[in-house]
Amino acid sequence: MTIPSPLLEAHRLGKHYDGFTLSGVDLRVGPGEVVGFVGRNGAGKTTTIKALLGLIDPDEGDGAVLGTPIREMSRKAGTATKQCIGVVFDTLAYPDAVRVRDIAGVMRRCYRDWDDAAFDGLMRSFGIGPRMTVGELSRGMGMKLSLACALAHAPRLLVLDEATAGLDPMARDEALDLLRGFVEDGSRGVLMSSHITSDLDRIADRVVCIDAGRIVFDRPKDEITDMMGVARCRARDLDSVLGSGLCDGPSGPLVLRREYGVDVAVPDRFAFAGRFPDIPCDHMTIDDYMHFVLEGGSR
Amino acid sequence: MIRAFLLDWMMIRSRAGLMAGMMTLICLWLTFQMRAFPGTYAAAIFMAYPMIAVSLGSYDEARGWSAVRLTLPVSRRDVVAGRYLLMGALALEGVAVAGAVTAAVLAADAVWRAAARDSFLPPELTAVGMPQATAVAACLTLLVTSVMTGIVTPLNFRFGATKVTMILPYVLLLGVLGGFALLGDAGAGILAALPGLFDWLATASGALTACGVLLVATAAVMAVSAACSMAVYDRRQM
Repeated sequence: MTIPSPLLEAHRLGKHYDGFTLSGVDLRVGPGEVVGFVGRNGAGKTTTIKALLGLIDPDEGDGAVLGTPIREMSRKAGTATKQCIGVVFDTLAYPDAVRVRDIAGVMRRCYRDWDDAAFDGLMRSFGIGPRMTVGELSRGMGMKLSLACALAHAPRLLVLDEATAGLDPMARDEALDLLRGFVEDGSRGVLMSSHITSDLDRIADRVVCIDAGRIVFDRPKDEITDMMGVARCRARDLDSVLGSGLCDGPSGPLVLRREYGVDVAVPDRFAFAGRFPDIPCDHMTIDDYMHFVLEGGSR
Repeated sequence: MIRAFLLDWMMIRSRAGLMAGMMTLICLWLTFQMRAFPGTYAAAIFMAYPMIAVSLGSYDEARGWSAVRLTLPVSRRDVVAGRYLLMGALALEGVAVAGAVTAAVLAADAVWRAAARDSFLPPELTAVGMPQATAVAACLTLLVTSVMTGIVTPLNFRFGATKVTMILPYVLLLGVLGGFALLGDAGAGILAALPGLFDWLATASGALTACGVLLVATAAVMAVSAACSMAVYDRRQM
């Protein structure tokens, strides 16, 4: 069985700034995948995305977006590739005086496959009128406009950098439904950087975490949320729990000491529940797993 | 290039529209205030061209637009070429507004005189040599404003408008001091030659030659500026 070509890939990507270094970043988005990209503020998420889109030149490594080398993305070779990519950043970049219909007019001239009907439909469902100016839009409505612009030209890849920030819960549900529909046909993909890990819990296929410029984990989301658990132990139970062998992950046991007790990451919460029925073991969320990996210790 | 031009145009469209209206009123007022057309063209070109063109740099920096723009199907070269195309269009807009005001004033006067009335125009406006003076003034203004935007635009592409605003006074100071240093003792000679120059410019052939030289110089300035902009923007990290 042939493995389909990735829509986006990065190999050993690196970039040096004063006070920050991105190093050895490997990232991949395959067809039909939603890849969640998480990390603390300043961890390197936006730097990685900018390097992938050709906005900055990496100092090390390489990558490709829809087959185009990332170093060519902002040059002539990249313009055809960008016809098939939709990008949403966390702010709406247009001046306040520009109207929604003006943006649509220019996008129609930029994108070969621009679909007015799709854009108008999205605008209607978002409650944004064509005569509204950017200055009249709330932050959430601005994000919706950016999302509509990204979706309305039949892209193959979406890159979202904190795109759901500022959306109310109902609007985030709408946006997630759109993204789910976007990847349904199995040929398109999404790279979604977000601090709202509950959104990724619901939609991501894989989660990649970056910290201090390095990838710290890259795991299928279901492995984290469906299989793993958080064992809420008392201090006196810790030795027996760690000694059971049920807490050994890829990088050893992960333990977080709390005021009230000790949380232990458990790779298989069903096996753990069978062995320790008296110790509460909750679902692991992406947020929980990030805490364990970034802040946890081995005891 | 056209996509990049349209993106830039979208950013300034409302402002350019308002400016066209204001320019028309100011040109009309200047025509009668100065009793001459050259100032009208100079003002119109200055209002349309460098004032808006230089402000495009600040739009680039606002809200991360320069990064967002490069995620659209345009290349860095397209962005630079589109910018210079827009600046050319703005210069033409200035000339067009001044031309429209000139035509409207002269046409209104012709209609007025056709009703067997005396001309309401100040006599200086229809003096001999006014068309030559107007053409040379317009071309000279194009050159001067092109030097201004030709210096600022590559700096905007390299450093961003915020930093350029801080360093521009020093660049201007260096330019003025450099100019005086280059002129040296030639300044007195240049001043002495001016009356003869003006007499030559008042002739049709003189004005035509001067306009040709000024337009070629303008094109050369913008070509060098565009090449510098392409080189620096190609390496700019967003």
